[in-house]
Amino acid sequence: MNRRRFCLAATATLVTTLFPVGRVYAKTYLTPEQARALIWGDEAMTRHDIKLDDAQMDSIKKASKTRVRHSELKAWKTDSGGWFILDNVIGKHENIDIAVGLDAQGAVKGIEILVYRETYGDQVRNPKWRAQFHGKGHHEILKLDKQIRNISGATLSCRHITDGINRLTHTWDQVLQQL
Amino acid sequence: MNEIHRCQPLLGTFVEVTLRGNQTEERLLTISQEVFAAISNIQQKMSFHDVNSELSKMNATAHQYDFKLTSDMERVLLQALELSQKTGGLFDVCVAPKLVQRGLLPDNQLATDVDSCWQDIVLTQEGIRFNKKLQIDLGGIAKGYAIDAGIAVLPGEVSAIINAGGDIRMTNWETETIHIRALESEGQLFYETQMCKPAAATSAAYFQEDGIAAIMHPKQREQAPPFSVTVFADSAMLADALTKLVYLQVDCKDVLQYFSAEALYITHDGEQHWITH
Repeated sequence: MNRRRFCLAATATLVTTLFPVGRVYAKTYLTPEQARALIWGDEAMTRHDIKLDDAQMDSIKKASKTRVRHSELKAWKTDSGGWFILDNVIGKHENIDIAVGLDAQGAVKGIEILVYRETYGDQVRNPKWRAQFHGKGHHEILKLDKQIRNISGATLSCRHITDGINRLTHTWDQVLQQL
Repeated sequence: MNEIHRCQPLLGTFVEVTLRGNQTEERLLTISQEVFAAISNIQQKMSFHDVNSELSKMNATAHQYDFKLTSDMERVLLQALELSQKTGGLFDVCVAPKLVQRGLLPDNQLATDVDSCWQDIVLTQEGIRFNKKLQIDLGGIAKGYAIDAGIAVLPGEVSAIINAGGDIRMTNWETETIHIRALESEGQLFYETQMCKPAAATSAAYFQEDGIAAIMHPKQREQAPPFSVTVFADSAMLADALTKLVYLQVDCKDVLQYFSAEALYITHDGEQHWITH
């Protein structure tokens, strides 16, 4: 291997080690405060630190047919008896941060995607794809996030979000409504 | 100039709304509420999954008596039938039973005549009537129309980009580019291209879960060949519908010309071909 090719290979390895499996595309939409105002306006709310026990997690999993990954839930109860919940679901590859409003009857009042992340599993293993980062630093890789706009492609399913919402409405049914 | 970005799970995908204008951020957020409400209204009317939607009620009753349509539904059906006529039935909103069979649509337990097609749909002043038992699915066109409905509620001084999982429409499209997702096997991630019309939509087999394509050739009723096609058109509804056509039939220059649309298709090897009017 000549010196130049060795350097390229070393850089490629370094890049993929430092930025594993491409945090290539991450888009921030709203802050939690903006989502809260859009869903609940000025309504006052109180933070509840929800900690699900094993039995609750199991029962929510059974009822919603969705995996319950975390025992802790960031939730606020509003004065009218509704809820504002910050949560995340696994999308195609990565976590997607969501904000969800449930009304006093447990019905969905609003859903906002806060941060959408996506990686490109097949491509990141492809040397030709990785080559585009050769010799580029962290700054340039981050810039790529901003440069890739208006992505068109075959429709991405939002089924994971639907499953996540289903899990949260069952969490309301079994836990939150009694609080 | 302020700018806001919002994203909600709607139309079975992620609907992203970007608004720019001299208004305050709060005002832009309020306008975005109206955009999402308009999109959500179309989703409710045209959902095949919801038994209470206008579409489901129409599917259940229009072979028995005239079903009165809302103006949104009428507009979409008129466009769908025009597309069917101009393509000799290549675009057909009656392939639903086949999609149900493949598990891509829920089974609504409605009986259908095997040989039913778009020609059995009759639109009159009284509404719609099916001459045979059939089921309409607007999956190939309604998403685009929902985007158009979102754009339609915008005040003139606000510029917008609505991207519903890859179906895009923009108000100030002349200076914008889009990134077309490359095929999974390709070394390249995206192909960047200039917008040449207000709306664009891409069809490809690369994202279907379980490897089942949801684009169906109405005559062969088999799955379509896999490569990506992006159509640029004046409305998102047309781009959405036409992209499936170009995907099924590369030689459709006349149809694109009739609808003043342009198409870019990308082969498995990354070769790009334009079909322009």
